[in-house]
Amino acid sequence: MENRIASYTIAELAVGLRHDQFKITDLVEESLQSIERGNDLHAFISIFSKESRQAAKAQQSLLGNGYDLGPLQGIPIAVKDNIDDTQGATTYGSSIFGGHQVSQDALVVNRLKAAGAIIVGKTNLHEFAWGGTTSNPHYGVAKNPWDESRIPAGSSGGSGIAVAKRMVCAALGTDTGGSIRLPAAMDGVCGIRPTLGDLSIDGIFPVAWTMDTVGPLCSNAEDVEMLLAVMKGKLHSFTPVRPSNLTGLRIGIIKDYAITGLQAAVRTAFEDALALLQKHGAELVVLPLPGVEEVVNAQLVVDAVEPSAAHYQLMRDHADDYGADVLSRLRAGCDLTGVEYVQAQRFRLRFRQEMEQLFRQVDVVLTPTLPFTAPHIGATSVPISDGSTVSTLSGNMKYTAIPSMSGVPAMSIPIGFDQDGLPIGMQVIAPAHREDTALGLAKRYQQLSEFHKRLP
Amino acid sequence: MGTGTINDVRSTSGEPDHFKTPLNEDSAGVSKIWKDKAEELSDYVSHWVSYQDGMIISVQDGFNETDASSNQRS
Repeated sequence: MENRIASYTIAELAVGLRHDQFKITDLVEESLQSIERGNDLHAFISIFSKESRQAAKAQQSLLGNGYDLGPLQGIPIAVKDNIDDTQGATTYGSSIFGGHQVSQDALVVNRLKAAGAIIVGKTNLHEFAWGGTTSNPHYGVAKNPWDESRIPAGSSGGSGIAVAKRMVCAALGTDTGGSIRLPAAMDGVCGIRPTLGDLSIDGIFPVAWTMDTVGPLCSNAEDVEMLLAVMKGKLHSFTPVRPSNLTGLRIGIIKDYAITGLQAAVRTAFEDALALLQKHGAELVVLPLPGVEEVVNAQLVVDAVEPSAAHYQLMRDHADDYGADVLSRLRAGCDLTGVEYVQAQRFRLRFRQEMEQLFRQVDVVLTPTLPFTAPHIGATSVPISDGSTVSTLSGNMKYTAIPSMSGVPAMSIPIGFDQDGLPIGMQVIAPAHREDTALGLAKRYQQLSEFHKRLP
Repeated sequence: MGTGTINDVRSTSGEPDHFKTPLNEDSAGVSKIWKDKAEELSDYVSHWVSYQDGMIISVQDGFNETDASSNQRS
């Protein structure tokens, strides 16, 4: 069977469907078969085979009779299982919620369905989205599609795998401290964390509610843009941004932070990406970001206390039903004081102002998405090229914490591979509400490189 | 701030210690790591506050430095 999902963007598939080159039922069948072939990767918790085939027939009939719902009509999409969907169980990655039926779709799911998208399944995640490995003790240890001995990152690991293997055209993830961008980077796909508060998180189980966001993972920037538009409620039309004109574009590089403490391959890929953008006219501006050395500490405090508050009763009633790592972190969050939480939130206010100041001087800020490529399953630390090691938990937040704590949007795009063939991502950070700036740069970079087209 | 080249970007200042700490998976170890990080942050944030004779005399929050005495009732 032809793999159209791997070959075309959503817009191209939409054109093909409207010119009768293939049918929605073909696309959905292709998606379901691909999911079945990749079963060992543990990307999915629920698969809606029967429902998806029925929906495909219904959408094909609608489209054939002139009811055109827009470009997402009939497109197979997956949804992370901490996002409510009435179609099947919503487990939040926890055995406590095994078989849990919700009465209402999350708003973003409702919008996807209204646009005619076909939700083919719910993806695996780190339990309650509180962790970065997607080694889920209840629904399977998710595996990186590029090397199955390694993690796909998390917490949206199943969504990263599903897109990397082109099981679906897009998958929804959630991002508190990096949970969309980290799997995007480690699995070799694109993923965006939108501006904090711009997209409704109604119907999504909270991790840290002052940081939680929802966004899409896709194989390319064009699809990310389309998903984002529909999720924002622009169901039928939007104006795509053009690839950035790099001439005169001012790219901020954080002084003494952007390329320190990286694995050698990550550093090389990032420097190569900068050099490519510079060669095509972009101006690199090296500038300090006060407070950046403390941003992970602040994130870890907020990102510990708020989940512990959200789980306060549940973890007492069901402590034995949690995985050991998540329970440890939830207990750690209970040990922090109110003063420490307030200090972290004070830091955050100040850091956001520092970011606003920075964006008066540059159009975007670029960093690696994280300092290393995918660690082995079970690893708690990762070697860095200077002979030292970094913690997989706090180390992978080194760059993703910057947008998470300041609330600005950020996108991870593929920029290369290491010596073991593992993907490397670059984080494009834009000013608040300027997702278009990040998307424009991502589109331009895609014109200059082929990394986003490689398949595991 | 200045317009830079790749070579400018290559300057390094070493690695913050907190990235080198492996995460212990036992609860007590995790709690200690978190408390250590919270203390580091609190030390950092406390530098925004200036004291004199045991009294807060100014609070630097964001870009605005507030004279604490102006908030006191006369």
